[in-house]
Amino acid sequence: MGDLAEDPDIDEAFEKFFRAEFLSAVTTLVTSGFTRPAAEDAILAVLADAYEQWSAIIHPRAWVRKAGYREALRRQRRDRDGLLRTARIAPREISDQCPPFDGQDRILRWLGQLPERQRQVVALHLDEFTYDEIAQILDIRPGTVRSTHRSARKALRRIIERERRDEAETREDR
Amino acid sequence: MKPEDVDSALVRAGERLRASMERQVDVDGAFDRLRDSISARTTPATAVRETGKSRGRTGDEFLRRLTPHAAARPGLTDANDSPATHDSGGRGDAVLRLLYEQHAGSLLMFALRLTGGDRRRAEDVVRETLLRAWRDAHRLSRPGGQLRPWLMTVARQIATGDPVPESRPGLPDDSDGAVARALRHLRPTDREILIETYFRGRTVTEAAATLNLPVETVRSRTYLALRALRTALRQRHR
Repeated sequence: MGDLAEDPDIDEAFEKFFRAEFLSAVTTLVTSGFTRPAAEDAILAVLADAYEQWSAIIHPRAWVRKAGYREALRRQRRDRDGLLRTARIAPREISDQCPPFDGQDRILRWLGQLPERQRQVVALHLDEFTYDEIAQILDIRPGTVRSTHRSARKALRRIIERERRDEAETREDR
Repeated sequence: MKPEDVDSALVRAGERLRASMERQVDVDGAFDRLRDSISARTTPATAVRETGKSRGRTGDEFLRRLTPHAAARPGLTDANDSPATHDSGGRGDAVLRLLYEQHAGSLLMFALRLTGGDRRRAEDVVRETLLRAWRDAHRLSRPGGQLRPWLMTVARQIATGDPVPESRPGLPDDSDGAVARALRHLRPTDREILIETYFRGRTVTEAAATLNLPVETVRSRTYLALRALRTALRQRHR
């Protein structure tokens, strides 16, 4: 690929990181509640910003998720404001732009019913980060990560059980 | 349902999502986009000033090869691009330098794609494109359009050997000029996207490449821009 920077080593490390982590980082953002295109754009934007200081980033895996989340939120707000200014468009029509999933993604249905913080913890946990790492990414104490995760699992248990009951009732048993 | 069941249900659901993301996310395409946006923002700032080893040929030397023919021409600022001004007064290379600083980086990445990675040919395409832009500088200063899409059109035509338009392509005439007037009232981003997709008949993918935007963005912007245009037309008919 090359040609990114004067230092070929940074180039190589950067590209290697990208190919190894992009999909996972996007998936984490999607699991946290963003659409796929929004997640992709946000991750790409923060990586483009970080490129020049790439070697200064100590924990790139954690960093890209943290910065990506912030960027995705920022863009979501900006787009919403922009849309309100440009034309009067109902929120429904906005989300129609990029129908991300066909409803088969149970996990999004489940996590969508959790508060933001719980969703983030579950998403990062599924992404195989430790509690300590999650604490750093979310800027909260490890103990809080633990208790948040516990609450999330409790809530998810209710959500999943209810869903299974409903499915059994409509005889769409899996 | 036991807590372990919740965990395993989550993991399974997570794996399904991951598999579905693998189908949807184009990692190679994303990397290309990333590279384009990095080169678009790093080239003007660093490559021109630093005579770095790898950039030297496309940087200062590139400019030197261009500038003997250059004489100052007024008015080459793009209304919608960064607010660079040609402060270097009557210096002959000011216009070209400005063109180069603002556009050479992304043009080169674009040209590299067109030439399938042939760097020499890509550089030739960029040089020819910028020369043409400089020659047409008096026409390019017209407000109401962005320079880069035009540059990329020219670059594509040079690279693919298509006939090159003598001047910047304008909007097609509509009978009473209502559409053109309404277009003029749109935001620059809306106008640019409609010009690419509707008036030049580009596909979404082509427009995305020309405008250096993600395909999804082009899609959503087109939709929003059409709405804005419709609103503008309706208001003017009242």
